[in-house]
Amino acid sequence: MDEHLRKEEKLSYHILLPRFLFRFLFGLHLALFRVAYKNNDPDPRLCVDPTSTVSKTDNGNSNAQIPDPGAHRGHDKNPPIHYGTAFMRQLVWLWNLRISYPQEEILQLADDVSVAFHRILYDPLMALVFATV
Amino acid sequence: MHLVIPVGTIFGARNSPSFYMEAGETRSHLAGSWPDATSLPLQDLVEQVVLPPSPTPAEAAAFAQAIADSQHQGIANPTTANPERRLPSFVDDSCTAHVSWYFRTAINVVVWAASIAFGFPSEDPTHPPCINPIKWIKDAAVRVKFLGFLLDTRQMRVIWPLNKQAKLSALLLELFLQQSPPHRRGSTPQSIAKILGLLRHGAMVAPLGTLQTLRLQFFLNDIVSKAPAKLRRWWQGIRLVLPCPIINDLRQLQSTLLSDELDPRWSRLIGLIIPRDPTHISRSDASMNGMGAWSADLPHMRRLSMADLKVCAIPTHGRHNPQHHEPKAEQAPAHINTLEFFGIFIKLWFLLRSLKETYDADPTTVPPGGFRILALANNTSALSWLQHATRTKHPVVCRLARLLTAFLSSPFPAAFVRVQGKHLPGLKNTAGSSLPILTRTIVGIRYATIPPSSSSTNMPSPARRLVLACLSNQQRTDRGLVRNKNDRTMDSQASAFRSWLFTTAGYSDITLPGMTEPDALAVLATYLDFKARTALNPQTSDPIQAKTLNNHLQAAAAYLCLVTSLSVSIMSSSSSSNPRLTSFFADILRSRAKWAAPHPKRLPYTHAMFQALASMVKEHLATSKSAHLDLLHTVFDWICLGVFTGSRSGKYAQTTAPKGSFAKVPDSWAPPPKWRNQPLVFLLSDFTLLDENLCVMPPHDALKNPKRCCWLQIRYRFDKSTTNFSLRRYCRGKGFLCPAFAALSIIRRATTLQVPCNEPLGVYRSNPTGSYTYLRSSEIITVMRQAVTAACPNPLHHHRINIKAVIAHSNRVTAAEALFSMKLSIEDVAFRLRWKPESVQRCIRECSQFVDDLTAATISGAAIL
Repeated sequence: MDEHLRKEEKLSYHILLPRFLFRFLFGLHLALFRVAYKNNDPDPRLCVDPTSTVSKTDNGNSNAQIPDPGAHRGHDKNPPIHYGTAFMRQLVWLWNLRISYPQEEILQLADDVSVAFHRILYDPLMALVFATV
Repeated sequence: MHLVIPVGTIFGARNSPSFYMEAGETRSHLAGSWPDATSLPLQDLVEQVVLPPSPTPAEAAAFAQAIADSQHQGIANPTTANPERRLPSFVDDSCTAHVSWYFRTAINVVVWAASIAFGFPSEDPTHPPCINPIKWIKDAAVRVKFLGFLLDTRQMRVIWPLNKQAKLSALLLELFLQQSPPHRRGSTPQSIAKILGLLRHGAMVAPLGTLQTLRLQFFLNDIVSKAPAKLRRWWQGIRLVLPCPIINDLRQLQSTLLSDELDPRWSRLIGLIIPRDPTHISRSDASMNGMGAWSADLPHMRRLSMADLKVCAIPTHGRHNPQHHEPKAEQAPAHINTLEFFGIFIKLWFLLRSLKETYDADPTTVPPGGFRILALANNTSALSWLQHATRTKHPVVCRLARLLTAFLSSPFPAAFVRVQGKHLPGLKNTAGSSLPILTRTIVGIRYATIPPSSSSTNMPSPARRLVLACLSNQQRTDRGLVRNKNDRTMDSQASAFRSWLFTTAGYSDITLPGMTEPDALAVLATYLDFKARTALNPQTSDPIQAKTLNNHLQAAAAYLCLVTSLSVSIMSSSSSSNPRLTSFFADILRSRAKWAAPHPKRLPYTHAMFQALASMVKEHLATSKSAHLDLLHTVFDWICLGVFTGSRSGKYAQTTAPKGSFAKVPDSWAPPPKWRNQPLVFLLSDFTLLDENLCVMPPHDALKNPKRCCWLQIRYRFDKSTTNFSLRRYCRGKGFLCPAFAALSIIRRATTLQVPCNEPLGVYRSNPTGSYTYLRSSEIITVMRQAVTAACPNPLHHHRINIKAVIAHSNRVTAAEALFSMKLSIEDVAFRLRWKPESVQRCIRECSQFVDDLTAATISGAAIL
């Protein structure tokens, strides 16, 4: 675990600080995190999953404050998601390509963005909301 | 031990996918719309990309083709405004596709856009590049894997990959082992759910897979619904022994796996998956007298009577939905939903058989992308069963739905045909001239009788076409929520008449068109008599009122006009062509009118009730500082205002709109464009606050200095009367019954809840988080009755005994009674409240109790003309 945390810090995904400092950071909000392993992946991921409540008074922590994606008047907090149509959009694009170029070879290439979610950086003030000890 | 502070978005946060999507779609947008992609410097990753050799002319000639239609016209003429269609991304996964000579440029702009959105590798050497060079696939191909499916651009086909089929096959073999005798250990719910989950992934290209696991799905659903499925150990702990029919289904399914990548059972043409224009359209309809279908594309037409269905051993006993207003005692021959579904089944069978014969004769007749059949019907249940056989557990329908799914999964339809259903309003489902009388669901009967019959006019054909087009436009005109509800009531009354006509009076679709005028009048009179004797108000169980009776007569007459082409004039109760029958109609209606509902119909509000409501509001405010946003205070404000304005509840609350929505001004030619789709109820702009010098105070100023606000001016934007945009001004009162104070409270609430200016002003907080919903008349009535109970604790009090007479309309009664008791003339009251004088007279005549002097004085003193 320690090794994994250090590796992620090296990649600038986290800031690791001595534990005692949490008493001095104004506005710090501690969140539970767990390590998600999937299919024997050698690189497990740190995952903040406060949906597992720890007591009756636990309201699901910071996630509970976030509205559903695309909820009415909640676009600033959680914008609508359109991933569901991605595959159909790809098929429609291929179909239209074939209409335009009936005799041409159509080539494809798939790619993915590494550590996608980490690409979206927090505002420094917001980062404290998801801190973990 | 450390303190860990994340720098970027993390896994598990509920809004991580949403916020990443904004960046990912920005990348897609850049990649798709950058104007000069060829001028971009070639990225390192793109230089590594290897293009496959060009196809030979023979290979190119064998490319599967695509055809243009109204929805797809090639990449140069996009029919959608979606800018991300060129690079669809599913979270971090995306797939670039383009023709070979442009491909390197296309992939270059995609990589460049990723760097623009997420940063170039050189900008931060400690941060890994957004596209990992180690994972970068260098080989461009005609067949790639994207989101778990293989996309083949030569075959224009989506394939469920063999590795997934192998995984499913292994899971099934393991399940067979667990279920095989002699031990039959059984399988865990988790392993069954794994099989179903994996199969559902491939369901888009494999309808057969869904069919073969329907029973397994039902079996698991039944078990889960009765089990503590929230417990993780339950899923892994217990063992389920599957019935033999399910095992047989799964064995058949397993035998189809791993045969061939292009097996039509596990792959599908792209043209069958994406939305496209139909190649064949067919319409079907069914009624209690039979069913019929028609398609212009083959063409074919068929009709089956109920006798034909009985000969075919189709289930012929059942009961119709009670909402169709049929007498429950009468046994209908079959459930209409089942008949409609069966009608669709027969129609599809004819169509597919015909297509198969054509295909067998000449395989080149299959259009690129396959056949798209659009099945139009006016029954949503049947259309739902057509798409998803799992949506019913009714044994007959379930078997029929599975049979249809199996039929559509057989080799020819599965490979070349996609069937889709679409709802068609009943009145339009005439399919030329074959089915108008079979149509059971009647829609738009009020307007259907307007067009002139073909034989009754000498119009030139252009003029006739213009008239019909005009009437057609008129029928399609949006009439708003309330009027549409009235129209639907008339439609259901016409349906009830037709049901009576066919079941009790013995008419059929053959004999009905031959009905003569005298017969029609006699039938109408008999029906009116029948309704007067038997029909009851469903809420009070009293006989229906004369007005409702007359509505039934008008609906029945309209229906007869439609199906018999008889003149409209004879169908009116005021007709003079048959004086005896006219007198008969009038006698029935007059007799019923004499026995109107007993008084009191509506009770006005008294000062004690207002005080009780005010006390409830004060108590509520004492418990919470933000209680003024809640329902109780909202109703109090609008009731206070309502007794001054005399408005119907429809002017400030929702009466027919579903919860969370509001009634709108119809989107038709009648209102100016500015007001179309605006709320019918009051908006913020309808309220104007004025100071003592009659100078307008902006709302925020008025809220800051409420004491300066002396006058409230209301613009009655939309009225039920013929006049809109009338203005009335009210002065500030002294007690808690003050129109200006109520208006300020209403405006403050809407401002606090951040209600947009084009949404209704009548809102209240529906959730502690601050979300709001629109005030409804049913909620007003509930609160008003609570106040009556609080004000009159004695259950023998007149208001308690007649508490059902306290309704939202009580506001109007209170206003009229108060003004009348302060010696205003009927005409003055009518003008101040914007009523008709007759309405004021009737209201005062019917009201059993006058408002007290204090309320009357307050209300009459607040308004200025």
